Formats: sequence, C-alpha cells, structure tokens
Amino acid sequence: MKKRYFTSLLVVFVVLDWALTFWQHYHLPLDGDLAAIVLPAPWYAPVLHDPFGWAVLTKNAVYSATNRFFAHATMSLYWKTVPRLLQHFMSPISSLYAAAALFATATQAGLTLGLAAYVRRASGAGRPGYWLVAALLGPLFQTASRLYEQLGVTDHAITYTFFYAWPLLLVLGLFWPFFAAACGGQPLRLPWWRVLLLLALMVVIAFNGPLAGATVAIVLLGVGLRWLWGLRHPSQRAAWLSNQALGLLFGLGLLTLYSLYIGRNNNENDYSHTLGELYQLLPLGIARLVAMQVGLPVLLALVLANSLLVRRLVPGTPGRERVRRLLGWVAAAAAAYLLLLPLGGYRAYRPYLLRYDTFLPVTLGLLFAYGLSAYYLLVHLRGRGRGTYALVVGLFTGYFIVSDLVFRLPFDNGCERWALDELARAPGPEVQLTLDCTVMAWGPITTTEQSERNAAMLEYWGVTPGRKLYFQR
Amino acid sequence: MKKIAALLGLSLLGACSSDNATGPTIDANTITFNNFEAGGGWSNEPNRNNPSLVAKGKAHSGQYALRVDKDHEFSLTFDMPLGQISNSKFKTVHLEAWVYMASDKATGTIGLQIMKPDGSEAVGGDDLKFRDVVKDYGKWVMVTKDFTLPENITAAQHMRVFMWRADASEEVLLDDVKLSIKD
Repeated sequence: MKKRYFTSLLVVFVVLDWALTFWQHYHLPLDGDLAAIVLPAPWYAPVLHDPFGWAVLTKNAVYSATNRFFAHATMSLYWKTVPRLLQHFMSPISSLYAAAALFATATQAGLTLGLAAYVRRASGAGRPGYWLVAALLGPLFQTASRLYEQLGVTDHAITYTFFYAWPLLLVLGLFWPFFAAACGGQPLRLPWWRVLLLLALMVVIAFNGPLAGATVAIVLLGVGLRWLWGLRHPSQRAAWLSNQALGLLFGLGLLTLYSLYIGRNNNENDYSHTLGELYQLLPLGIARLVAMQVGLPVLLALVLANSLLVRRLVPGTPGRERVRRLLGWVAAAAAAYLLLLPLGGYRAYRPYLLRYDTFLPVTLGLLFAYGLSAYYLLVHLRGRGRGTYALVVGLFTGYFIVSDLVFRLPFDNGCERWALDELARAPGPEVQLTLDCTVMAWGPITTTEQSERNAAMLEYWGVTPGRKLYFQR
Repeated sequence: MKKIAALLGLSLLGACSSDNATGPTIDANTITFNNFEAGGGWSNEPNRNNPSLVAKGKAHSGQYALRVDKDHEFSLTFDMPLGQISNSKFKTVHLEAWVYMASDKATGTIGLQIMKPDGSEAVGGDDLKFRDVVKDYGKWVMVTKDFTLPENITAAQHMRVFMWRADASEEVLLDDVKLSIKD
C-alpha cells in the first residue's frame, strides 16, 4: 500500500513537470523557419518530392535539406493538421501555440519515459523504480531557466524540436529491442512484423537529418567494435548479436552512410572553414559550453562521483558490472561524438560548433548515465550512506526544479499574439504592425514580401480571413 | 558604553526605515503612477505650459494635485500608445485615484479613451463619474474603477486618461493616480 502511494506520488510529480513544460512552451513565440518548412517554401520543395535524394545520386543535384525528408514531412503534416484539430476547442491563434506546446511536451515526455525504460531494463527496476527514475530525470529538462542554453532538450524554436529532440526519441525507440536483448543476454530474435517496423523506423531516422544520423553512427561504431572484439575473443562474444541483429544493424549502417553522403549536397552547408579550423574551434566550444552555467558541470561531477561510488561502495552487488560497463560506453560514445562533431561542418549561428542543440546526444547520454547510476546507488547503498546520497540527489533535483520553476517567461509570445490578433482583425490586404517583436520570424519583417509565406500559412490556419501581408515599422 | 549602545540602536532603527514607506506598489503591471510632485512647472514646451492646471498646497500627498474648475474644463492628460504601455494585449485597466470635491455642487469625471493612432477620433472608452462614488465632501476620497478595453485594440492606438469638470464649475482636485493592467 505504502509502495503504491509512493509510486502515485512520483507519477503526479512527473506529470506536473510535463504540465509546467506545456505551460512554458505554450507561451513561447513561433520561430522564423516554421512557415517555410510547413508550406513549403520553394527551396524546401525538392526534398519533399525526392525523399531519398535520388537526384543527388543521379544528377549530383544540390538543394536544401537533402537528407531530411522525414523531418520536413513530419513537421509539415503535423502543422497542417493539428492546429486545425485544436481549433475545435480554442481560437486559431491559441491553436498554434497549443500545437507547439503539445509537440514539445510529448517529445519531452517520450524522452523521459524512454530513458527511464532504458534504465529500468539495465537495472531490473520495478514499476516504482521506473517512476523514480522518471522523477529524477524530469526536472533536468530545462525550458525557461538559463540552464536551457546549456542542457536544453526541447528547443524554444519548435521547428528545431522536430529536427533535434524528436529524431533522437525515434533513435531511442529504434535501439530498444537491441538494448533489451543485450541486457537479457539473449540473441535478438524478432517476429517479422517487428522487423518490418524496425526497417521502417530505420528509413525514417536515416532521412531525419544529421543529428540522428551521427548518433546512430556512433552507436553502430561501438557495436561494430564490440562485434570485432567478439570475433577475436569467441568466449566473450556478445550473445545478443544474432545474425538478425547483425543484418538489421548492417542495413541501418548502410542507410546512415547513404544519408550522410547525400547530406553533403545540402546547399545550406557552410564550407567557409577547413576541417583543421573546425577542430581548432572544438576545444573552445566545449570549454564555453561547460563554463556557461553551473548545471552541466554539476551533472558531470555527479555522474563521475556516481561511477566512483558504484565502483567503491557497492562491491559484489548484482548488476554492478553492467552499470559500470554502460557508464563506460556512454563516456566513450560522448567522447567519440564530440571528436567527430567537426565533420558535421560549420554554421554561422553556431560559431563554436557546440551548443545545447548539437550537444543534445551527449545530454541524453548524460541523463541516462545519471538516471542509471543514481537509481542503482539509491537501491544498493546501505545505512547512512543511502540517506546522505538521497539528500545529495534531492538537493540536485531541487536545484533544477527551482531553476526552471518559471511561470511568466521574460521572452513570452504576448506581443506576437497581439500582432496576430491585429492582423486577423485588420480590414485591408496589407497591414502595418507597430509592435516591434518578432512575428513568426527571426527578426523584424520590414517589407510585405518578407511576410508572404507567413501570410499564406496564417491564412491556411484560419488565423486571418484572407491572405494578409504585413510589415513592421 | 550605554551611549554607544543607544547610537547603535538608533542606527539599526534607521536602517529598518524606508524613504518610501507610504509609496504605491509599482510593478510590471503598473502603467503609470503620478502624484504630480514632478509635474509642477514642467513642460515639453517651455513658456507654453499652464501652471494653473496643477494646484499647489491642496494635495492628497505632497504639494501638487491636478485641478479642474470654472477656468479649466480638462485636466492634464495621460496619453500613450498602447504598444508602449505593454507589448502584450491587455483587456482591463484598473484605476485608483484620490478625489477632492469641495461640495455637492461639484461634478467631475475621469475619462479613459482609446484613440485612433493619429489621435483624431476615440474608438472606445468609458468614464468614472465622481458624483456616483464620492459621497463625502471637503475631504479626499479614494475612487477605483476597472475599465474594460475594446476587443479590437491595436498597439498603435493611444490610451488617454484625463479629468473633466462636466457641467459644474466648482474646483475638483485629483491626486495620486495609479493606472495598472488588470488582465
């Protein structure tokens, strides 16, 4: 009875955390890439007509987002349907923000529960343990605090939640059967329908942009090394790497390589820096990100301390070696990802390569490592050690809760909402807005031509009764 | 030793007191608060202001208050674009002010108007008639009212707030006017 009460409390806590996330995202402005991708704008049309980039292979075509078909298609489908559905319950303007908040919150909830499921599988936790891990991880997802700039997972610009966090949630789903088989020490043997589902998911992930592709590549690199090790040392062969698993992962590898290859023809790539220059930027990028806020250094320190505690304080406990091995794999994968990051190229808006968004695979790896090690210690430490450790974890969690406990965002969408309201009520086809905030843009819109795509999108959503161009002055 | 202790005690008491103990609460929702102390004699056009629009020596707080009387039909006016007041749309404005009416022969009104961007025409508004709320004469009385704005306000439109003497000619004073966004 007591355990059930505890679990219910944890569930309530996790759901409240998501409710706060929803509230925060509901008050964020819309970004400047949304309409261009959803409509789409002429420069994003080719990728929707050529999902697998045959034109790159056959004609060496160069266009935008060559290997991101599913990111564009998902976003377009979502934004063309969900706001209209929501308009049965709310105004057209509110439906836009609710749609953004729903997607961001669902993605965060999926990642929280997905990571907790991985921890549960690795640690053998029961239902209360699962929700305890979810409660430990939930507050680490920062939206409104300054820690967002360092550890943010769901982006303030909803477009980039579709392009970064969402594909990584799919990656978690993709690797789940392999991870479960590895933890169970059983050869992977899936029924045909699950194989088909996995194959479909592989295709979706491969053509979802470089972040998911790079993450998959790093995992495959690790699996490949493990497989080679098994070939050289047959007694230490990984049992889960059945022929089916190898075949699937080989297929995934080929798809990922193909995707990365056609991604070279993305005309948004910036070749202004040589690879050497990019590698010179990397240490600075790492240093800047770590020093930016206290959240990441503390998280790193806690994971490191956890790994030492697991090694020293709980010898001989069941599952200890697996926890240590997994922490080692996370560290190795994070290091490999950071070392290979310069191969991903340069973007002017990300001058030191590393930012919360490109750091996202490492952030999720850190969250998994923290969740796994903290849960393991909370279960296996004994006596005063457990009490002291629980206090440390409580303080750490409390710090993240308090940091992100923001109900009134300083950069909220009130101004944009008002601008859209004015636009909706204005009688003419061209409207001057005097508000100086961004309106579905990255900066002020100074000519009506700049508003064409937004105007078309707002008309489609039913926010404006017809197409209304606008400019700000 | 006792003197030192007494001095220390006094200094601590001083540290606990505030220069602005009776001032209003000014927060993010406050549009304006004016006790007109800074207004006496000030103008954006020197030699063109009308110093008789503020009454000296009869204020609710400090020295100055706004006045309307037989020679002044309208008081000084608060005028600001809505987009400058707030960058989020707002629906209701709360007014708090102190009013002085010498007798029951006095009339007066606080008007709140939403004006077109060029100021040529009012597109909405409401008022607070002092006769409806002030029942004590010859003393300062606090008045309050929530003004609901039109649904279709734009950021370029202006909000005007002013006092009008209505049809009487007796002096009416207004002081410590606070306007804030309610929702």
